[in-house]
Amino acid sequence: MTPVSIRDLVKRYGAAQVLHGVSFDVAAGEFIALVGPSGCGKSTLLRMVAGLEDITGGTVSIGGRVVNDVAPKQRDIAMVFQNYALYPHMSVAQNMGFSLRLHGADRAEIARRVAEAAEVLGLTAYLDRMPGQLSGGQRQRVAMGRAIVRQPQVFLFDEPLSNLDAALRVQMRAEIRALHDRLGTTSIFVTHDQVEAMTMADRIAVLRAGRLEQVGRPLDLYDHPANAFVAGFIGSPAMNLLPGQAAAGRVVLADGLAVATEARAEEPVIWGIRPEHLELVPEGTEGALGAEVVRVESTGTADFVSTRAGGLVLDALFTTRPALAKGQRIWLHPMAGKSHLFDAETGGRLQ
Amino acid sequence: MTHLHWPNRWGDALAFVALGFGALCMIGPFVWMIATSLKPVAEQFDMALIPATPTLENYPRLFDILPMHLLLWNSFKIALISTFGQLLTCSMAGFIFAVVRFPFRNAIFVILLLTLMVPGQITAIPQFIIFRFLGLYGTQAPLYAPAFLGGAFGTFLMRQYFLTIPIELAEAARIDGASLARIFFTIYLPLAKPALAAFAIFAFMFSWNELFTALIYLPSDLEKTTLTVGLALFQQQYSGQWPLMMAASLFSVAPIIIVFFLAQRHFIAGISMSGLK
Repeated sequence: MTPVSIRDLVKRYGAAQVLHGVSFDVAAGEFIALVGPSGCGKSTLLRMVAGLEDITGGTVSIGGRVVNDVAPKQRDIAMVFQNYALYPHMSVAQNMGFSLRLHGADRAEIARRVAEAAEVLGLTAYLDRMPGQLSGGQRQRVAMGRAIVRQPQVFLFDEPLSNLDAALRVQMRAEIRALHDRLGTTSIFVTHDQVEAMTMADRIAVLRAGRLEQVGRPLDLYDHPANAFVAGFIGSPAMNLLPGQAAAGRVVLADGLAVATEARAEEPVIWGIRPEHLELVPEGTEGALGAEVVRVESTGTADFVSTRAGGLVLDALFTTRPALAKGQRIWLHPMAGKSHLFDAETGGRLQ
Repeated sequence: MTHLHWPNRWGDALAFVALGFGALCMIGPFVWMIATSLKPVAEQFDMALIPATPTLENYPRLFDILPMHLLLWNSFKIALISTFGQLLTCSMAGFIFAVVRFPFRNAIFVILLLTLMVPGQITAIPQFIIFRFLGLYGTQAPLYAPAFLGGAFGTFLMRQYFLTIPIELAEAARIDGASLARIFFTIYLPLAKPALAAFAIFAFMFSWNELFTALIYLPSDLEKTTLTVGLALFQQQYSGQWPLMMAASLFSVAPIIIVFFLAQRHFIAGISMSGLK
């Protein structure tokens, strides 16, 4: 098992800078997810680890060895692409055995290892098919098979589930994680879907505009986001983030709308609360916010309620199925200790 | 299928007539050529499409006048070697332009395309000087050697096709441990079969029909020269004898027609791909 270390990584395309000095470590055998909105540089970073993009500055080390100038094939990595990148003119078995063939393995060895990988992924019946004859999920598995057949030091995943439909995505999510638990190979998984990151990863690295915003375990990111961006990005439905003015133990969000908080100097802040951390309370409850129901979306598991409070949008999530109707006036109370405060200017966490 | 509606029927009929007329215009001269080649010389100015006394005598006469089998063989050999050279070098160059990133890639590609605008007549003299310097004047080499130095059209055609292949295939192969040459020969080339087939016909036809260069380097050596030069010589000597001329012409286009029918599907795919008409 091999650790990966990324130090002050910089990427520039001419005048445009895509990565501004990103550093983080992936422990041996760890599954780390790189998330961020599109264009944040996460795929570029992964491709730099793979050796498909030149490194402008900083270092990438795999197993303690700096690989900046090492060709992709000598980095002992395997990569799964978003579009799978299966060779269309080769059968499933040939696709999976291609790298072994290039590394000079003999026929029997290739056949044995391909059969093993196919067994693990449930592809045994499809070894003679061409990629064009497979469904999306099966192609995804072949791409995985091509990666595991080589027993590389590191797996790199570049949004491998984005081309699958929702149900299959959930299934493959579990399969990839189960495979990781079984093989224990260090993995870096790029995705724009924070749910994928939350459910699969040991740790998550959040990127925005080429800068690392936070690295941590999924629930740490959820409970203690380092800044307003991570707060809004991690968690679904997204956290309510409302601008306000801190003063004497409370935050004034709008005229006649204030929430209690620890004593702070007077300053503009961003107050955050997750929709699931708002309680429905009777009128007149101490510290409750009056709001008007704008929309109710029910999934059965939970009711997502969008409201307007003092001109601000405030979303809430209830699992108790309260009877609410559009236009109804309700009272919402932030659960104790569940709200977040961020600096209005830098977005940094204030507590 | 339900019955066609009347407006549709009329539309179809109209299209049919228009297309039929077009086909007639295209095929008419060809039919006339065949018809004339089957007439005795005495009948050559009859306007009849069907010869009054059809004869095959013009064909064996051709072989008496010219070493047709040699000319055919020379043309065929040169076209084959040229086609091979073009396929190899243009697909390699197209691959590099499509897959490998290097400084000034697009600028170099544009310069390459600009060479399409230089007429062959302009490069003919310097090329002649080079080949004479190399001692290749009077040999067939000048007719096929340039094909091994790539070409703007073929490079463009192959590049366009390679660009439609997802770049991730090359990247996956790189990570799998393939060298650039390996990626080209085992991934890209097999996937480019349709483009290669289309380009092969283009290149073969171009070489087969080529007259200008052949006239420069092999103007009179009937042992070595091509069918087109042979026809040109023939035209000078037997200009009054249309049935003979037509028989010779038919001989020169027949191989192309056969090749075309064999690879028709790829050829049309290739034309729509390159945006040519």
